[in-house]
Amino acid sequence: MSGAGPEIERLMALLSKLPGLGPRSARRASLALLKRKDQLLIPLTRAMQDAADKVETCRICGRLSTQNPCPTCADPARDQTMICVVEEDSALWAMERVGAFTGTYHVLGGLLSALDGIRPEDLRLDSLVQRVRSGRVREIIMALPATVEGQTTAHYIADRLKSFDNQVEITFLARGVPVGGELDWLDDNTIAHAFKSRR
Amino acid sequence: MEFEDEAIVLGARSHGETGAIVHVLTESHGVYAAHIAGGASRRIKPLLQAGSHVAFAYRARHTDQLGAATLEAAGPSPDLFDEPLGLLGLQCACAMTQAVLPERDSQPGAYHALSGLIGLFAFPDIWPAVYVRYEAGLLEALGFGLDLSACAVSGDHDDLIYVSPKSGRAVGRTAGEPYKEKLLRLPGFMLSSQGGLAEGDVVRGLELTGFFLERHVFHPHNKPLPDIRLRLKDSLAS
Repeated sequence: MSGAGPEIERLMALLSKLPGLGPRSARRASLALLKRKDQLLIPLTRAMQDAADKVETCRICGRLSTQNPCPTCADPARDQTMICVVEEDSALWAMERVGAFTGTYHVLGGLLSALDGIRPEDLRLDSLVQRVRSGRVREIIMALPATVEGQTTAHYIADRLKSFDNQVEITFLARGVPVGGELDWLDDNTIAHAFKSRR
Repeated sequence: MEFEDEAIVLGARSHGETGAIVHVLTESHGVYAAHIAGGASRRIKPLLQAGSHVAFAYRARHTDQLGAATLEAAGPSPDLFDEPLGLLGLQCACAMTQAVLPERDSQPGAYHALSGLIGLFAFPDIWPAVYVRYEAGLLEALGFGLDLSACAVSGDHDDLIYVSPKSGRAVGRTAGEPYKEKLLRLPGFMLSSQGGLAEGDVVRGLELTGFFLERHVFHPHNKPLPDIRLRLKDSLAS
């Protein structure tokens, strides 16, 4: 308790729930916001209200956006014949940051997980199949994590899309030595994959 | 309470922003759950994949407390990313082990069986039958083992092709003929490793072990067989 009043206590309590913030850093953030009310607190409140009012899930790809369909799906310059399948929006943002991909995305909203009981029907898979069925798609790129759950999900999707084999090519992201990576610090599987995928 | 042991990672889920809760099957201490500080880090995360062999150092203040553990790689992890069915089998074996075995109950047999099975997932002709036998072994570890030594009706040791759903004992062809609709099929490879593998045997084996796992392990807790187990059976059937 800071004794600063229930409103400020509530602000601190809510901020402390955000990723990267604990009670102490939430107190510091609250103080910074309160001290710069006009420059930070009020614009932040408005921005958060706007986001809360406008953000929704794109009906085509499932990403979070304030437009529906999202700017990527609605952009005629994007290659609509390619779909990159990602786990969450964070992966999509990473891909967009790189700018190496000019196609569209599909956000699954999770991965199949035996431990957490996440089943195929819990993921955004039906809409992916529907997009493929539309006939425009030529390539599906599996950009899912290189983990047991990620690759199990990728193979499950590939299997589910088997009936479109003659229409759609399914590809997987390469695995190997990261930029700046030293072999000494890499795990055995990464080195083995890097060797297998050598050019 | 403190111990160090070799272990196989069964699964992990994130805990907070930086930690993880891992479930492992240790060689001498059975299934254990533990908090891994820094489990979300790049260094630790690869170790938390199902099937990884790790050196597991566990520490807790009280025995009834969820303790903390540190992990180090103790052997190569299974490289199955390009083997869809093997990957499914690996996840299924780890999920079933975690769901079936009680925590903190020493099961060195299960540890060595799972370790051997993990080494086989890269061999698609071999592992499905071994997996079925592994599930039969899990039943045995729980005290619900199938008795396939002799016919429950006649006592004969030959031509055992059925299992009684009531007793879990083998039944011979002749004795079982009048009740064959009610009996479960017993594939030959479950009697001995030289039993041979006919088409459909693995699925019949999965039906057999699945029946008893459901009855003895999952139904008493009002749970169905895990979804991944159903998917594995469907994948092996197709």
